[in-house]
Amino acid sequence: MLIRQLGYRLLISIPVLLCVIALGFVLMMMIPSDPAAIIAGDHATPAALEEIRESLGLNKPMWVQFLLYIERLLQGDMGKSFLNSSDVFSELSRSMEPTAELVIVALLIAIPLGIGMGAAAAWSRGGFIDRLVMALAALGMSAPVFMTGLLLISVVGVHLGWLPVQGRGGPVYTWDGLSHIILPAITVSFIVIGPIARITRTSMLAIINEDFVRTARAKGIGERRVMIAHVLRNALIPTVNVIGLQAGYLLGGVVVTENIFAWPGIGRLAIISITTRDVPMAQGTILFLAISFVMLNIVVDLIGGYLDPRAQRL
Amino acid sequence: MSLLDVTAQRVKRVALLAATSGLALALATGAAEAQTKPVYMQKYSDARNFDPHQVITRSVSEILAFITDTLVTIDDDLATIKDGLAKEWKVSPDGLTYTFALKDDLKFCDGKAITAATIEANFKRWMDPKTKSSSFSIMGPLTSVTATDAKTVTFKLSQPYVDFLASIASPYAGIVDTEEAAKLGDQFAVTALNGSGPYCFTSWKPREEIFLKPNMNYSWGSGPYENKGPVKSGGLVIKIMPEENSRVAALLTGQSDVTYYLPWTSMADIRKNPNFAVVQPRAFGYLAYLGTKVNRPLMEPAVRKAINLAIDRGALVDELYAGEADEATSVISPNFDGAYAPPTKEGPRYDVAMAKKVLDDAGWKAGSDGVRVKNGVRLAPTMIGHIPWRVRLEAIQGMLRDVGMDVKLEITDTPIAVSRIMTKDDFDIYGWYAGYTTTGEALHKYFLPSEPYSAYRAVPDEAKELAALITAGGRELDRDKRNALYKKAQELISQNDYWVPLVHERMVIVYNKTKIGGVKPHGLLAGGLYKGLDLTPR
Repeated sequence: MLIRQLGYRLLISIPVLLCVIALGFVLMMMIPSDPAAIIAGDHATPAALEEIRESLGLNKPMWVQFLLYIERLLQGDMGKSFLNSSDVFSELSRSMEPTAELVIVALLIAIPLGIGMGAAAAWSRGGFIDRLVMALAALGMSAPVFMTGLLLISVVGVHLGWLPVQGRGGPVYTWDGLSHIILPAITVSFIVIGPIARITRTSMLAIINEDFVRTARAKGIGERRVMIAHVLRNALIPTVNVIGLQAGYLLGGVVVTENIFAWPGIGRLAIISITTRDVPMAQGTILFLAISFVMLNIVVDLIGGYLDPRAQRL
Repeated sequence: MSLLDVTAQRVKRVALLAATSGLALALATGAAEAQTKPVYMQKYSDARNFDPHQVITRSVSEILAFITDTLVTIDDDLATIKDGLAKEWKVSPDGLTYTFALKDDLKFCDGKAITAATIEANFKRWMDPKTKSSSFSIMGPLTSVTATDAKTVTFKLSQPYVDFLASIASPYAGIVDTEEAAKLGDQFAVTALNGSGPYCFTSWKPREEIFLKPNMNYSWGSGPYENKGPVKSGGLVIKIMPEENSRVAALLTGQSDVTYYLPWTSMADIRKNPNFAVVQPRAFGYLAYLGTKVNRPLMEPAVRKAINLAIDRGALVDELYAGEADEATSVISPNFDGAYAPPTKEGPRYDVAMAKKVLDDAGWKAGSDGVRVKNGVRLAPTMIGHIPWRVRLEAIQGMLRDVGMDVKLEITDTPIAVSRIMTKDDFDIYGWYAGYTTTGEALHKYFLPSEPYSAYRAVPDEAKELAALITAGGRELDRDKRNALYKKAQELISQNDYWVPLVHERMVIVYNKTKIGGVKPHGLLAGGLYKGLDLTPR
């Protein structure tokens, strides 16, 4: 059943990815620039430019260039960077690890914190903690990522001097690695903490008066155990779905955060590729981000299906 | 004295000895640690590769100075030539032959010897059409390079060229392992580069960082440096940070030790910070200017003159550069030998009334909306530039509006702007930089019609007299005669207003003096640290 569901999800992802590739291709081609001039450099002669256009097929119609690109893609060839002729796939692979690290650490911060805040709000429903948590959630959701990041850099990095603010350190299990990832991960986590807290609170409040919860209390089970083992557990199902829905925002936030903190991941690579008109690299990053988003949603759907077997249907 | 007193005395002696030893050990360890610590610096843009014979951008030249050496070096006055790989050199009386004698024990990073044959191979590679070099034109009339013995190289020119030694000091003339280049092909200077400089190209994560480790074979340091080599640090880590705020934050938090890429608006606060030192070289040639497409109908002489008169350069310096630049009334900075600035009442200056009069006299009459019109054509030129120039160009747009020009501004990313400036003629004015090392180089590179960046590229017939003056000046070995020729050339340039000089930028180097020492500022091709031989972590 699970494999069938996975297969179906992967199958319907293909047209989605094709649309994203096509859209990314068209947008990059429409940007006013001459890739041949970028490759040739400052002192290119018209003859040199023509030679480059011919060798890269840049003088062919756009639809022909797109089909050639798909053909190469299917052969595993994502092309070479206009910047330094490096292999696009190799550079993407190198940039994947920092982004994955950032996303995982951000989720490790956001999920327990968001669920905890939501649970605390539900428990104190109507009280001071409830109001405080909801205000913080609203603040987290409405503050732009770049503002949060720059604020953390200014306060924690520059004024307090507690943590480094640029680049990536060593492996994340070392202090050097951990100290470098904390601020960008907190910045990214702000994107999803608010929605997680709110949905957790709402779901718990919806369940808290259900019959099975009253039964549990009537059996003499302590309030804390009731809230955690019965109410929260059942409230997690919609929470998991929300995490999946927020995945897109998370990836978007990663792009901005990586630029603010000079974090060498896919997001930063995407921005630099686009601003330097490194078309193959930009197309590669767009494709990679699209695949990541699709896979993240598939994983979330599968986890949701596991938690609630009623959701396991085609 | 009791036994107790003796014991106490001995305890004190031992404690003092232990403390002294501990302190000595700590100091020695600290010194040793400082020697293994790298120096962290920043740059704002990456490069396509670091092959000195192929690329010609600032983002490359500053790295080349670290990883390659040249036959001669140049001091920070950009005039005094000093030894490099060559210990001495002779110039024939007719200025056509240069003979260089190499120093002893020259080695690449991998220990391979650098001989006269190496130098010959380098220049032949540079000259070879297959290399598709963008930079070889800086060598002027160089025709041949020959290794006459293991330590002697002879250069022959077709005509005298006074800037020949300055050109040989350029990082683009840096000596590399050409055998490695042949083996690696297009991966040379991307994945590896066996160089001759005080630092070795070790790793490059594109768009992220470059790591240069010390060249332990380097022992022939020269130029303005006390240290002859090897360098006294664990190398250089150069972080690539396109974002201005990131660069400032990195410096303030100690993640970066030195930079010359800070936004001007941050300099006032930096100067007040006691941890930072700000230094500048004696000379730096970097002009911010507006170029005009002189073959476009709107760019007639009166309009160009009016543009030159309508720009308040003082306001640009004060507001956009926070005072850290100099108003430019000539294309070459007055710090350079041979530079000429027209008299105050004749050259580029801020005179709105005169700008309006020039346009009035040329038939450009102000319409009801204040925009000038002539023969039914509105004075609405298109001005292009790249994103770092946005605020500057918007300010200039406003200034030109005051004299009746309705400038259409098109700001794009840098590669697009460069591509358009080089290959298109669908705009009237562009904003860009001109970097140079000598007056002669600036005149040759930017005003000879044959050169790609030349102001006269589209109108070579108009530049015959100018070209003759520049070429004659480049051949003239007598300094006074040469400067007289260059002066006439600059007078012509000033009269034509093809370029509108804005400001002469400064090379301002900021470093954290609690973390590093030995910063010797330089301005060669905007590489602020040049060889970096004296850089020492504290």
